[in-house]
Amino acid sequence: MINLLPEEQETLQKWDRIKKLVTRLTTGVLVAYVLIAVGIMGWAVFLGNREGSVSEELKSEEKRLVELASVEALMRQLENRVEVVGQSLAAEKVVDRLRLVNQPEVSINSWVFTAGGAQNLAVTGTGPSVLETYVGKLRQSYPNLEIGLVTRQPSGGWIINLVLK
Amino acid sequence: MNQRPTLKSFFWLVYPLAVLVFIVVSGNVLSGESSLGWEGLVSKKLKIETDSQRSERLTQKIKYLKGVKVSAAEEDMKVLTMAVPISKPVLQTVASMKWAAALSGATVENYRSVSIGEIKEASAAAVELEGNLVRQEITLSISSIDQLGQFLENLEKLLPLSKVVGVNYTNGAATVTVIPNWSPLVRAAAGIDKPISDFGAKLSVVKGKLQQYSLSPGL
Repeated sequence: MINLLPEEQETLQKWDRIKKLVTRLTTGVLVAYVLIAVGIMGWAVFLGNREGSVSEELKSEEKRLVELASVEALMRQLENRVEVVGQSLAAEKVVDRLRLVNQPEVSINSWVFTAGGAQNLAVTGTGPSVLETYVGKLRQSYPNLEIGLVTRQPSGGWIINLVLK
Repeated sequence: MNQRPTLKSFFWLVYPLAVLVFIVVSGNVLSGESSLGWEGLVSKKLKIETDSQRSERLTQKIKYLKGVKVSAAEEDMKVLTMAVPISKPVLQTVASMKWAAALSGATVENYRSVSIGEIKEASAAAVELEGNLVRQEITLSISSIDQLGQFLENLEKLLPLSKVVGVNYTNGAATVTVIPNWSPLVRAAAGIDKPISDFGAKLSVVKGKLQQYSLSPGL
């Protein structure tokens, strides 16, 4: 086909197509941008309202807590006292230590107990085998038990000195 | 005929250029830290979340405090203060020791209270170890080790609670050293954001254990 349009006319049509394309693209971008901006502004309004209501709620709660301050102070004191009494109750009873060393097969001559330290003990038994059984029992609770002086009395009894650690 | 482009032929460019300028200028505002800006909104959202969580915690605390029966709590406090007094229970401990001795049939030979001052003179380290405590020492005349056991059992079941820190027994005599337990009242300020733990179960356990103890009648 022979192009009958002059060259100038052809250039004008080309520019016209470019113009339409740019205008359409601009409109598309503008519409998308406006939608996004409106969304952001809507979110801003929502956050503003939410911030206000949360802030009001907090103020009212703080006020109520100030009114309840005396109850809070009492509960804190009680909580602390429960802790203190609980610790005191959990402390080891010395009578239990004495029960461990006071066995029927021996008689205790002396017993020195110091909290957090070693116990010194001197007991009398009828013979070495009795004392051995006794020491064996004590070893179960005091693995680091130390045996000191063992003496035989003129009356026939045997005395053993022990350090319980 | 060749036509030269006039200024009017570029007017169509005003629309895209104006849109471009509008987007650049307003986009700068929307992405910044202003109240309408993205960064500002994100930080506002985080603040709201933090405040909401705080509000939830405060609501829980209010609910807990409103449920507290003050008279019952005061009664519990009274019982616990009998177990561990708020001031040094020197006289109460003397009464307890005497009562425990009487129950076990032991005779009190001597009684001594060692104050902080005396400990301080003896050893500076002792003061650090014992703190604000008073040692009380009782010397008993006893018939057997079983009687000493009876004395200790009685003493360790009496209120106020005390800690036996030393026993020196030789045939017929025993010296028992005791530190009475005490703890001053906590003056904890009521902090709005300070959480309160639910110690109800712990309180029940402690109260249950205390039922096995008794006040010495000398009090």
